[in-house]
Order: sequence, then C-alpha cells, then structure tokens
Amino acid sequence: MGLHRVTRKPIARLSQLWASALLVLSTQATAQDFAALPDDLTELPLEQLLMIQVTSVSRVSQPLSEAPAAIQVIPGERLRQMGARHVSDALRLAVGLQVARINGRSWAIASRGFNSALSDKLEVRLDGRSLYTPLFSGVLWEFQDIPIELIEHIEIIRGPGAALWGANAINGVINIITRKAQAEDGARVHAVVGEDQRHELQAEQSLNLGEKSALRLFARQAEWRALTLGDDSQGEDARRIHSLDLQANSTRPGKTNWRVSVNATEANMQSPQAAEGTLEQMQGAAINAQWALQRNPRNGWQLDLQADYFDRDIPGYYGEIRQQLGTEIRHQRAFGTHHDALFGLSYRRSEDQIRNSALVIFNPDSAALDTLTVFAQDRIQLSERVELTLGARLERNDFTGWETQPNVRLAWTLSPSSLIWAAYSRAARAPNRIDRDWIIPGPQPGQFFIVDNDSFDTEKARFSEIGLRHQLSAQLLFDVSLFHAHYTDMRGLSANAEGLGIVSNEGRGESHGLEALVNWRPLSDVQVELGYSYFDLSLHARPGSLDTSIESNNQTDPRHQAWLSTRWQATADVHTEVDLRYVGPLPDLGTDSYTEMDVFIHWQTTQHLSAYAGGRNLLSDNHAEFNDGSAHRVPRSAELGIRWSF
Amino acid sequence: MRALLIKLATLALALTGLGTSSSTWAQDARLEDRVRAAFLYNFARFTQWSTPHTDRQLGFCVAGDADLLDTLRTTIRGKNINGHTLLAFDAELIDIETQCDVLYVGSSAAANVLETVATRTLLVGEGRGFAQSRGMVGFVLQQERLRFVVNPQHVEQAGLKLSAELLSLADIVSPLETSL
Repeated sequence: MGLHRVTRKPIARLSQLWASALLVLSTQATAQDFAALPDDLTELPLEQLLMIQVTSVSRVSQPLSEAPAAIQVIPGERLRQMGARHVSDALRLAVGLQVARINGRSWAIASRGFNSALSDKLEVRLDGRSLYTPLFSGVLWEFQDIPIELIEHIEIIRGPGAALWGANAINGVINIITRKAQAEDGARVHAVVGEDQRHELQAEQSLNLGEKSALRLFARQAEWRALTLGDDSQGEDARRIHSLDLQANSTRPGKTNWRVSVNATEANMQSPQAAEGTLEQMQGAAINAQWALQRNPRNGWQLDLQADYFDRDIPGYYGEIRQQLGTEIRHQRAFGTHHDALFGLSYRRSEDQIRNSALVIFNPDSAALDTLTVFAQDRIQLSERVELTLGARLERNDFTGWETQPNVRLAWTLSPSSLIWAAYSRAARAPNRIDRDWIIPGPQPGQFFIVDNDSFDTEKARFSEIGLRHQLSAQLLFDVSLFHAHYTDMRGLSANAEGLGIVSNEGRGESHGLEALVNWRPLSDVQVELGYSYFDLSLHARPGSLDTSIESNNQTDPRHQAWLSTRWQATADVHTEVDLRYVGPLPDLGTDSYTEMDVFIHWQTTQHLSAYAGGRNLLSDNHAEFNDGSAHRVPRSAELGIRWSF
Repeated sequence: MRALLIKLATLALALTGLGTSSSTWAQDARLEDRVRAAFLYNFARFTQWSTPHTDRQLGFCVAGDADLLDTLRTTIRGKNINGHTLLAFDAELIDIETQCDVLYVGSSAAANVLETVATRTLLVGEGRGFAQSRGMVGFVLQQERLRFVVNPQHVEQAGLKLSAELLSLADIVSPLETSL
C-alpha cells in the first residue's frame, strides 16, 4: 500500500462516517397482525382465533394494534416468499428504515437517518442478544448474517426505544426472533444458486429432546460475488460465510420455558484495506441462554445470559478481538387492574484487544467496558380507551457515567378499528471506542490527522412522535406516524487546542419525517402494500465550533422513499410477488435516486419439495446505492432455489 | 410537544370519562384471556354431550384463574348455544359434578380439582401435558399464538363428541404419546 493511500483513504472514509438523516421501506405484517380485533372475539371463525398474536414487542404482552409506537412486524414466512437472502433484504421492506448496499459485503442500515457504514443509533437484537460492537456502536452486517430460514419474525420499532432497549436505541430497534426448535420440523435442505449470491446451502435437523423440548442443528455455507465498480473493474468485496447454529428449547405454557442457542460463524472476505494477497477474516461464537416463567399473561420473569467472542482481522490494517458477557433479568407484574409494570436489571462487559497498524490506532489498544442498566415501565389504564405508559432507563457506562432515558407514551383507542398514539422520549448514545480512542496517524512520524479525545460526550436526542392506525375495512389498513427529533452534542470532526483533529460533539440539529403504510387486500388471494416515507435532517456545528465536517455529511439519507409490493397467491401451490421501490438521492454521497423491482415466484411442488425463481433489481443493469456511481454498483441478478424437507 | 400531549390526554380523558364503572373494566382483559374465553365458547359450540346436565343451561367452570373467569363471563353474556343459556362459575364454589359441562383448569388450580369431575365434563387446561395426562383439550402458546391440543381418547371415554371442524384445527395427541 503506497503512502498516498495511507494519507487519503482514511479521510475519504472519515467523511462517510459522520452523517445524518432518514427514511423507510415497505411493509409487511399481514393485515391480521395490525387488524383491530372485534370486541367480541366469538364473532371470529376458529381459524382466525388461532392467528391472533397474543404476545408482542413492548416486552409486556400487548397486541400490536395497541402498541403506542411506530412498529412493524415482518413474518419470517414473508421473507422466504420474497426470496430474502440477507437480513438487509428483509429490512428493505420496512417503512422508515434506510437500507443501502455499500458493496458486495457491507451494508449501511439506519432508522430515521444518520445512515453510514458505521450507523450507531440503531439497536439490533438477535433473540434478545445485542449485536452491536462497542467499537463503533453498530453492527457488522457482513458477519452478523442471520440465516433467513431461521427467522420467525422481525420486529422493527422506529424512533427511540431507549427506555427499554438501551443506549443504542436512539433512533430505532430491530428485534430478530428465530424459530423455536420443533421436532416435527425433521430434516430440511435448502439450496440457492444465483448471479449475485453465487450459492448458498443450508441443512437442518430437528430432534425430540423429551417432553416439550426439542433440539435443532443448522449448518450454512454461502458465497457472494464481488460487485462491479463504475469503471467496469471488479471490486475487492467477495464474501464467503460458514455458520453452525445449535438450539435447544423447552416450551411449557404456564410453567418455565428455556432456550439455549449456540452459534459459530466464520467469514472470509476480500477487503481493499487488507495487505496484498490476504483476506479479511472473522471468526466468532456466541451462546445465549434464556429462561422464562410466565405465570399468567400479566405476571412473569425472564433471565438471559449471553456470552460472545469474535476475532476480526484485516491483515496490515486493523484487527479486533472482542469478548462479551451479558445478563439481564426482568420481571413483569400487574398491580390491580390498572397497572402493568415491568422492571429490569442488566449488566454487560465487553473486553477488546485491538491490533493497531500504521494506518489506524486505538489508544489504549485494549479496553474493558462495563454497562449497568436499571429500567422500569408502567402501563396505566387511565380509562377503558386510554392507556398511558411511563418508562425510564438509567444506564451507567464507563465513559460518561449515568445516562437517564425517560419516555412517556399515550394510546387512545378511538374505536375498535382505530388507535391514535403519541410519545415523547429522551434518548442518548453513549460514547464508544471510535469516539474516544481513535487515532489516525499522518504520513510523517509524529504527525496525526486525528487524535484521541477523552472529552467526547454522549449524543442526545429528544423525540416527539404521533401516529394513527386505522382499519378502514376488513381489507384496508392504514398506518401513519409523524415525528420530530431534536439532536444535541452530535458527532463531527473538530480540532483541539493544539490544532490537531479530534472526534468532537459539536453538532446540533433537527429531523422530522412521516412514515405511511397502506395494506390493502382487494381480493382474498391478493395483497398490496404501499409505503411512503419522508425524511429531513438538518445538522449544523454549534456557533464557534471548528467543525467543518457536519455541513457536508448530513445528507446521506433519502428524503423520499416509496414501496409497492404486490403479492398474489395464484393457486394453493403458487405464490408470486412483485416488489417495487424508489429511493431518493443522497446528496452528500453523490448517489442518484433509483427505482428497482424484484420479482419472485414460489412453487410448492409437493408437500416436501418447493422451488422458487426470482430476479432482483430488474429495471437497470446496475445502480449505486451508497456512492456517486464510480464505486460499487448493485447488479441485476437472477436466482433459483429449492427447499426439501424429509 | 408537551403541550400537545397534555391536550391529547385531557381530550381523551374528557371524552371517555375516567371514573368509568367497574363493568367496563372487564373489557380491558388482556388479549390472551379474551382469546382463551372465545376458544372455550367455541369448544362448547363444537361439542356434543351424550347426556347434558340440564336441558336449558350450559355451565362453564373455571378453576384457578379469576381473571379468565371474569373475561369468560363478559364473553358469554347474552349468548346461547343451541338454545342453552350459558353460565360461568368459579369451580371452587360449585358442585362440579352437576354444574360443569366445561371445566377449565388453570395453572394455579388446586391439585385435587379433577378428582370430583364427572365423566361427561369437557376438560380444558394448559399445555400438551394436560391433554396427555388426564385432560381433553390443552392450550399451547406457539409462536406467540394460542393453539390447542386435543386428546380424542379422553374425549371419547367421557362420552363426548367433538366436531370434525374443531378436530381439524387441533393438534392431536397420539395414543403412542400417552402410553410412553
């Protein structure tokens, strides 16, 4: 790697780091998930009673139609029908998220703005385990590649979920819930070949572990091609991943349930930063144990224990070894008929060792961070139709001490078919290693572009939100939310007293937006979803600041996004789907707007065998999603897959 | 925004009235109990008793779950099944043998509640294990939804008949399962 690269690359990358803004994707929960239920459930046919979701996302059992927040649930079955191959494909369906493919191996994913490769305001959880790395408070999506076949559903909460979900949940929470092991699932094989994703092979075997308990072993291998750059050269971004998942669980309603899952993953990726002739490599393992006792729908306990480890190495550039331990206990109980309370206590320890290089330095090169959290929430039935939720989270981190994150939510059921909700929240993003400890050396010894900054403070947000969910008829559902956020102490690049560059907290500004979703079932076998989102973010350095980075790095989110998804169950065995999406331009990245279309056809040939064929990004040869078009371009591609159970 | 919230809350409270009577609270039951109650009603609708307790009434009894009992009372109020008036009782306060056509056994019901059960009572409880051991229908929570498991052997031994429609939606306990 030449010297010129040493000096220029980090700056180019830096300019991408500090960003801001928002938006959304499509939709999914079936109409049923959001449908307002009749007061008298005996009016429903038995089949529909069986479909009612009786537990949900607010951690205290609550039907989605009553949740006072911008929530969307995407069922796993929907992901399989639309041919999703990576969690990002699924998140593209969610109204209110920004999802962009940076290259063949990396994604930029954010909720309500600030999108970048290092998005740090979105909490992502897999079965309750947080997937972010405290290095930059974001998710390494190329490594956290959760098999779509294992997903039971994905819950997306836009806006701050910080009171319940922690200091990363400043702009949103994504909860990925995997399927429970069930002995009836038996053995399954799933194979995909395609143009973009070269191939993927998955095999699973489920076994009975005795009464109400089951065990599942799941193995996966997948490989993705490198993308082509704007000048028709080949990118250095191919990726191969192997993973093994083991899950055991026991489900006994009214008694204790437990689940233990173990994952081991290995990924090998091309990387432009890696020394000539070497690959970036990541290996990791995680174990997650959950124990729950639900005495009745309003009274329960849950205990989570988590440990994970990963080792990421980009030879010659940077390496990270991280070990984490976490535990959380929470208790839900009712006080009389009016109060449903939730209490929780959690602790997480994250230790890292960084392999510094001449290009990137973390000082110190090893750190142990402890986070202690206490949270509480009370859902108060003010009247038959009005419910008030008060929540707060106290979180202690090693950099800035205690942070308080309160929120208040109000749900008002206007009629059995419509609900208005409003919320006000304060959320904080605690500093991470990049904020505080990052050094970028210059080309000469003793010269630095960026030096570490021990005074980097917490980023803060205040959110006001309001939403309406209305079931116009059995076939037509309407869901809209509006928000306004006020940000202070936002990250940028400034200079210290010696004139050296530092990561600073001198940005402030506001965002506002609208997210709307219409779910229409014109015929019993046709479902149409129309989504639109508007987002606007304006950030500035505070008066007197030397920060010049923010002005040119806060327009990395599309102002307008729209989705149109049409699904048709043509026969009992054939399902077809056409997904259209429009994503507006990203001015600060020079990315043009684009409109793309995916088409998938699924055919259940026999009870045990199904096949599907599909095409992605069919409207153009290729398009850029997170650069000015000169770098990686996402191609049109075809795909074939089969699923076989026996 | 704070002003807006307060305005909204005030408006909501003014429109709905804070001091609503206790009867309206019954409708605030958690969804899960409302679904359970609707299932119990449907189970009765799809069950044939060879010898009904009385010709005019059909009794639902609940043991060990006061919340569900409240919800069930609301659910069945004003309804009938084949001309039978529906009643809901606390199983601990009543003669199960003569009054209960359907008995729901909650997780915290007394251990001996099943000892006094007449053969012709439809026994509903929680979990597959309930249907396997002594009961006929067990609720299971699967993928956040309530499903039910039926043990046809026990149903038949009690002289009851469940409709094909109900059985087609149930998870069935196989004879093998209960003999192991």
